[in-house]
Amino acid sequence: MKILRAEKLRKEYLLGKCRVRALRGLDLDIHSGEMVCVMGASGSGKTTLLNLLGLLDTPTSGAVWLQNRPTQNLSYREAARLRSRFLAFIFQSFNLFPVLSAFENVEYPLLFHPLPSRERRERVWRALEAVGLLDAASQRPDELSGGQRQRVAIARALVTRPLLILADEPTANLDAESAETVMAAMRRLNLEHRTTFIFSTHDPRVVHHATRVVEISDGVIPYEGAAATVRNILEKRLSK
Amino acid sequence: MKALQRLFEISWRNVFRNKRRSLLTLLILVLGSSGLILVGGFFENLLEGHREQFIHSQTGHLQVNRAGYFQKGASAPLDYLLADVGRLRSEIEAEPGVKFTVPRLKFGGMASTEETSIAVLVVGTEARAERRMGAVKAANVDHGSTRIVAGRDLDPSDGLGVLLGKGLAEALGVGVGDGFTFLTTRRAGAIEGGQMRVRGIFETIAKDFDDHAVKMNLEAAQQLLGAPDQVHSLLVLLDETSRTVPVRDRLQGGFQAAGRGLETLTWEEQGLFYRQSKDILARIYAVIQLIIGVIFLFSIANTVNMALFERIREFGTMMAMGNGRGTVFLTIFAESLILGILGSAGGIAAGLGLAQVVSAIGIEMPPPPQSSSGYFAMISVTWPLIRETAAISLAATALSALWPAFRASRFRIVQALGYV
Repeated sequence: MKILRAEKLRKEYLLGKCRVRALRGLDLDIHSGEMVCVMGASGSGKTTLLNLLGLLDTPTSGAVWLQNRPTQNLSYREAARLRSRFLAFIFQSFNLFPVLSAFENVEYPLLFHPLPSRERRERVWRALEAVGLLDAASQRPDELSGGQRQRVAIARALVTRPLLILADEPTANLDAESAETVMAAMRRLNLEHRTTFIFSTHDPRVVHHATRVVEISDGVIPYEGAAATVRNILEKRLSK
Repeated sequence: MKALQRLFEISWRNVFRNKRRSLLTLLILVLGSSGLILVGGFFENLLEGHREQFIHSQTGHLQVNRAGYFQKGASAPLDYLLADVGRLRSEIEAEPGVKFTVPRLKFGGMASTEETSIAVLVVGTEARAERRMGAVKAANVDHGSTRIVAGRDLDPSDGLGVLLGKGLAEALGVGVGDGFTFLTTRRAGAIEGGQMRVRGIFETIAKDFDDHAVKMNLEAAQQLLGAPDQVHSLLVLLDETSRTVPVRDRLQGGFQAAGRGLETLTWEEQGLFYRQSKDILARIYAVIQLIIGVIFLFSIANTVNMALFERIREFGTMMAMGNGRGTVFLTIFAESLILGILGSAGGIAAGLGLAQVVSAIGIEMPPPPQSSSGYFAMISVTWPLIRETAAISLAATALSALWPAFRASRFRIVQALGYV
């Protein structure tokens, strides 16, 4: 089932006096249960694309359809409501609230959902359990490793049971071992809970966790396909 | 509700995220608020002391006269005499809140010695009632409002024995036991006079009064003036100064209803100098409040702004998760308000503690204008003073947070998330 559709997405912005064309008429469909990897070099437009798909920004032209509903003319409040209800985010720098414990960080997005407190707490514990951080519930972010912090962020994204989780370079600030742990956790959630993920990366080592890879370069998608196929292409490129 | 509670918790924890910065801001708030309490309490004490001294040495809480006496009595005092004084006193003293009354007969005359002649103001009064009125001590003065500095107080049997104000005694060059000649105009127009003898010398807070006043027994004054059983005023002393206006209203209402032709004036209506002093101190205090308020405003705005720039990405995250602009605004606003509440509570507590210490030691003050005696000032902390101080620090903190909180709530999400 198609849950998100980007149609002729263009995004231009001014950098000083220069007009930057970050996206140049890009089309993309995301289906339920997918784990899509948006791959590309720095400056290729990955973050811009995820921002537009996550309704964090508005395109210069083109449209994003969320569950077959157009989103281009939404007010700030309407977009915020859709994000809160259907979308969740994982950030490169984790973006946890430093004054809250792991439990409280995961609980935070649920505070704005009409849930009985008992169910809210249960959901938080289940999310922490899903990322293997039950023991770290009372710890604050500065008491956790980078990998643990990103897993808290995953639990925070997961807890509202969103339609789609968007992760912008979730492993960029992690060492190889932590990156693998985090990606494995996301993949497990994708398989076990059918959670749909879109993550961006420029690291070819994490591509194998995706079910589909979208390559982005200079604001267009030159190639997209099944992860296995892309892996072969990448390996060939690397071997040259 | 839970969301609001958690937002407040986050704000509370954020206040202490940068402890040094928050403590510095709190210190400014505590010092400023306690300073306001001390200065305000000092001014309040000055006014309170002056007020009570004025009431108990000169006017009483209320003064009942024939209508028009206060405006025109100085030019024709004999036209404004009260008759049937005994009945009037009984009526007034029956009023709830009234402790006692003091009759006064005032008239001018000339006091002469071999060396000099001075125009004087004679105050005929009941020695016992006058003593009772003047013995009341104000909070910051260790003696009564009327102080006998030489000789003794009046006695009902003194006849033409009198008390002189300190300044008048010095001007006439007389001391206790000395005599002087006194002349006045009787009611019928004849000149009356007599040889008076100084029984004692008194001092009040009003030097001007002390430089001209002669106090004598009411009966002797009435005989001199040819106005038996008549007085100009009845001073009314109450159990509480704060009851002045309600009692005045009741008395005046009764007099008007009965068509008695009487006027009832409060001490404040007669105390031009008190009113002017109060106005000046109120202006000075308002300027001090303004300066401290501005200091609060800028120091807290600085703290909030610094915190804001450190946490732009946090606000971006909140908005990305679907929080509205109002939630971001409230989070920042609540942090400032917490600082304001803690700072003003600390400042008021510190101010109260310091007020106790300063009051225990006392601040030695020179004689105020128009006064001849110094005193020890203290700090009188009142509820309105506490409320005003709390309001200033809370208002300053709220105002200082408005713009930064508004700005943060207007950030573009992608810019906030990408802020380094």
